[in-house]
Amino acid sequence: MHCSDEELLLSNTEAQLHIEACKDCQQRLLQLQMLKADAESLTEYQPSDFAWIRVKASIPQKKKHHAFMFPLSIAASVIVSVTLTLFINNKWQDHNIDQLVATSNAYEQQLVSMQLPSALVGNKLWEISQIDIQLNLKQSKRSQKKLWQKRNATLKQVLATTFNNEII
Amino acid sequence: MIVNEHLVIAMKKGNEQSFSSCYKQLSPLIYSIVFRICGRSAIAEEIMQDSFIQAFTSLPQLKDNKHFTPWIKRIAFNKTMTHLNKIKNEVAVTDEHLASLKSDNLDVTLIHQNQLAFLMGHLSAEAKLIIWLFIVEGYSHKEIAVITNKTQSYSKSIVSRNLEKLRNIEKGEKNAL
Repeated sequence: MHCSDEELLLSNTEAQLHIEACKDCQQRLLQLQMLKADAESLTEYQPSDFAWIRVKASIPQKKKHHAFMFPLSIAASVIVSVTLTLFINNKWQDHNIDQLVATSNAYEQQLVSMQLPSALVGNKLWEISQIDIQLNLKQSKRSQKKLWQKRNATLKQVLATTFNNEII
Repeated sequence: MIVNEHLVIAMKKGNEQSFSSCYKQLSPLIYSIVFRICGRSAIAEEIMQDSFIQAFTSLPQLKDNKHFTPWIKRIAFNKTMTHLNKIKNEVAVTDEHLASLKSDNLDVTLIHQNQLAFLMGHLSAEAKLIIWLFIVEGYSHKEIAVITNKTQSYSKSIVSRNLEKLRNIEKGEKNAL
């Protein structure tokens, strides 16, 4: 029984013993070895230069973790800081305005309890009414604060004038 | 031609230069093998491109970096077989590179120059693939059966029949093929 082509290529101990004794199998093995050797001398063809372009386009891109993670973390910190600052500032402004409104109310109560000589404080009361009109319009916290400060200052002046008149 | 292990490591790290270097080293080999089997330069080039694209994109799946060359070859063989299954019929040998082997009247003198080239020049594309895998690449019939999706007996008969024909031609029986 001759060796199969696969047995000839594998050439295990059993096959080798047979090949040594069988001229037919020796020739077949030689043919296989010659054919394999022929592959080495075959012409190597070159693909066209354009073939690389399509392959190149598919090359996986290098992941640049550190390159974009660092600016991303900075951006996140900036956003958090700005949001926090705005929130705190907003709360602080609200608190300030509340205080100014309370002061203004106190001045008004004081003023109501006094007898007002209209000739002396008329202009000031007109100023306060103008401030109130502006306060009713949509204003920024900063502007509101200024208006309330102005209103309180005017009320204070009215109170002082009224107080002096009562003494006189 | 075997691609250096360090080159494969560099490719896995995403080094762009290493991909180009690998392509330069292996593309003529892959292209030549596929071209010899399918016989058409445009198809061979497309299969070669597809093989490189698949190899490069699925590089993380390659466990042993030393085996890149046989791995990409196997991808190319599978793609060649897929192509042959698509066209079904025999691929005619028409391209200029193999023109010398296309002949109805066998030029037996060629057999003395390169037996493998002579054999490859007179077989169907599928038989060429089987002969190449068995003789040159050293694939077992079991492995060939997986690639061709045929039985082991099929590839065994293709190999033994054609080798016998070749022997007969050598003996002077010109009409054997």
